[in-house]
Amino acid sequence: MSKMNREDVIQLLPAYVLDALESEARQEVDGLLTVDSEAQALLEQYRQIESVLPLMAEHRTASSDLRDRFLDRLHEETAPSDDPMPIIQFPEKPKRKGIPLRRRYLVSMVATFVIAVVGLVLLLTSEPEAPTPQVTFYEISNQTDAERITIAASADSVVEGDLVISSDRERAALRLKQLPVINDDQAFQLWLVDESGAMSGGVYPMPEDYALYVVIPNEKPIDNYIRFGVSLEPAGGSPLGNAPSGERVFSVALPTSSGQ
Amino acid sequence: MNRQFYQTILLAIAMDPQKLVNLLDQIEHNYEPALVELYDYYVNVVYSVSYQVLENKQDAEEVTQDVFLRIWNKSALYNPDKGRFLNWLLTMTRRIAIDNLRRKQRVSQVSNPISLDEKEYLWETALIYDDLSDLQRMLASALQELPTDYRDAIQLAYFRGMTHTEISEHLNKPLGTIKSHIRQGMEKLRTVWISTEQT
Repeated sequence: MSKMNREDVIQLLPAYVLDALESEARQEVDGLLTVDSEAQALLEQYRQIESVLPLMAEHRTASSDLRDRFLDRLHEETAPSDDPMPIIQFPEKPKRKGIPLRRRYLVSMVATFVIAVVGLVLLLTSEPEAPTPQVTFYEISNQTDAERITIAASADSVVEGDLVISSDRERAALRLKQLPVINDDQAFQLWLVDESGAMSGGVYPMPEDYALYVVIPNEKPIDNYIRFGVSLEPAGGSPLGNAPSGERVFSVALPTSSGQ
Repeated sequence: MNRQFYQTILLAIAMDPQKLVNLLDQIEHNYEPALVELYDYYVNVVYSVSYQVLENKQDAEEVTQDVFLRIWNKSALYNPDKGRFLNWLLTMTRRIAIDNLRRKQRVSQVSNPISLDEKEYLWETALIYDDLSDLQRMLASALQELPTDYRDAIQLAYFRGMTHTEISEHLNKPLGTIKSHIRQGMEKLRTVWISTEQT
């Protein structure tokens, strides 16, 4: 039974919003809120006020190196855990006899220098890694004038997808979610459909992550295509060659040119 | 003499809503560059609120990281139906910071409570969320005009997670006085809210 009258409890609402009440008082307010619509409305008003209270904080700038530390922590906490490695004890090598210490030091320095030079040459002459399909998808998606077509799940298919087309119409990428789980001997096959028919855009195994990202091959301008589709096929692709043999899991029609 | 002062309170500019939706969607799909972009945009407001609670750089940095890690790990999920992202972000920040404070059993030992009146900063008038409504702008202005005692009590409750009793002990003021200050301070703000709503 409440120890306080209604008006007394109402007066506690501001402190309630600020979490400044002791346990007993908070329970009194909780009790009133379950039955009193006026109290509920008042509470909502005080919640609006609470939303601007952060403005009382003094503006501060975080350290410039905090970002790097944050990313280190992010990678550390999300990295897969390594299997414990046995500690291998190498027997102590017998000390060499006969070769002067200074000569050994000099040889080590030269070897280190050579390795460093070779490594640098390899680094400078190697081709940069191609971005992953996921990176490509988001690069296009983040462009200001990129086109995005979203296909929601429907009664016919639970698969959802997003097609993004770059602003210059040169690149496109697809993201598919809620794909059906498939066996190792199955795969998803992308189909690029234009007026002459369909051609394969690649065969893709079940993604490990949440979604399948596919970069549309740019052998033809994107606007040449009328539809992209995905079907379920054997692991090596459709036995029919340039036509799907399995169930269609996703399809997206490209917008037609204006006036049609 | 009217002492006009400008004070830097929290400068927080809300991100373009569509951009925010895109970033949150990308974060949901484990796209790290999106989290980095969100971090870069909001780190200072999160850090500011954290520091206001903890008054300690190291702890505030830890809480700042905790906030963004929760967003990444999806243990904190933003629901647009429940209000603005920035409000949600700063509410979560405050709660994590206060939890951190309580866990470390650290209560402000400063002899003088925080009083914005005692700090003169020559800044451009601060505020404000870009998408703040007139209502919120009026409320933010009213905050600055609250009597010091009211604002101090509200700040200790909001930023330090103190109860009436703890504030009373901290400020060495009667419990009834503290209850009254919080109630009257919030009531003044509510009056502004009502009058702005009605215009």
